[in-house]
Amino acid sequence: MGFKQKPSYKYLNFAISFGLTMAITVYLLFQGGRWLDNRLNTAPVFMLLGILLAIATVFKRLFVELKTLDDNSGDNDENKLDPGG
Amino acid sequence: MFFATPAYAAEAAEHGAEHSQALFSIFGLQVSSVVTTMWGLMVLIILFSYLATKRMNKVPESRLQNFLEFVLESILELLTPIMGDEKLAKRYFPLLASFFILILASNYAGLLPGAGHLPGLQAPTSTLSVTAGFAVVVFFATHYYGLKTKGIKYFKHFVQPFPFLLPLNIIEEFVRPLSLSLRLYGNVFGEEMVVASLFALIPLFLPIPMMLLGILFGLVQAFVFTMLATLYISMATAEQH
Repeated sequence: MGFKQKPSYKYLNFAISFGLTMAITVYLLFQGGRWLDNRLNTAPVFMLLGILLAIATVFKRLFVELKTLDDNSGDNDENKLDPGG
Repeated sequence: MFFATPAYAAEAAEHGAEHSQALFSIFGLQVSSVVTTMWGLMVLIILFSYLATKRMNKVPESRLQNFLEFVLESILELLTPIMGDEKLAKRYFPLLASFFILILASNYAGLLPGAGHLPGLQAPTSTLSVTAGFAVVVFFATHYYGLKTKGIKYFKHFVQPFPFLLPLNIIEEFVRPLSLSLRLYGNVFGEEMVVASLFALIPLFLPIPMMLLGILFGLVQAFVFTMLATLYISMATAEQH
C-alpha cells in the first residue's frame, strides 16, 4: 500500500485480525460448501472446494500482509541509510 | 468448584435467555433491553454534547467543553498515525470518533449495577445484532469512501495483484465485517458471562477483579474496532504510489 502509515499499526492490525479472519474464512466456506453439497447431493465435492478456497484466501492474505510489512520495514531502512532523503 | 456448577449453569442459561427477551413492541417491532439501553446511551451522549457545546469559546471556560475537547483531541491523535495524515484523519473523524464513543459507552453500560439482570438495562455490544450493525456500517462506509475518493478505479484493487485472485479478494471483503462484529461481541459477551458466573458462585467481592478487567477490555475493544475501521477506510482511500 502506498500510504504513509506508521508500520507499528500494520503489525498491530496483523496481530489482532489475522487469526480470527482465518477461522471465520475457513468456517464460512466449509459451511457454504456443505450447504451446497446437501442441496445438490454432491458430498463432499463443494465442502472440499470450500476448504481449499478458504486456505487459498488465508494464504493470499498472509502473503499480502507480510509483503506490506516487508515493504514498510524496507522504507524505514532506506530512511535510516539516507536521512537527507 | 463442583458444588456450584448447577448454579452457574442456571445463571448462565438465565443470562442467555434475558438477551432475547422483548420488553414491549412498537408498530410490531420488538424492543428489548439492548434497544432501551442504546436509546439511553444516545440520549446521554447527545445531552452531554449539547451541554458541552452550548456556550463554546475558543479558549474553553467550562469544564465540560474542556473535557470534550480533551477526549476528541485524544481520539484524533490516535487516528492520525493510522491514517498517516491529520487532514485525512479529520475527514473521517466524525464517523470514527462516533464509533469509538458509542462502543465505549455500550461496553461500559454492562458494568452498571444490575446490567443484564434488570429489565431495560443490558450492554448493547453483548448482542451480535448490534455489533453486526456497526460492522455493516463500516463495510458500506469503506466502499463508499473508496468509490468517492478513487471513482471507478477503486474496483481495480479487487483484481490486484493478479486478476485470478478476484474470488479470494471478494471473500476477504465479506469476512471483514464478520470478523469485526464477532470480535467485539465475543469479548463483551464473554466478559459478561464470566462476571455472571462468578456472581453466581460468590456474589460479594469475587466478580470485582473481572469487572475491573472489564473496564480495560471495554476500552481495548472500542480501540480495536475503531482502529480496524480506520485501517479499512485508509486502505480503501489510499492512493497507490
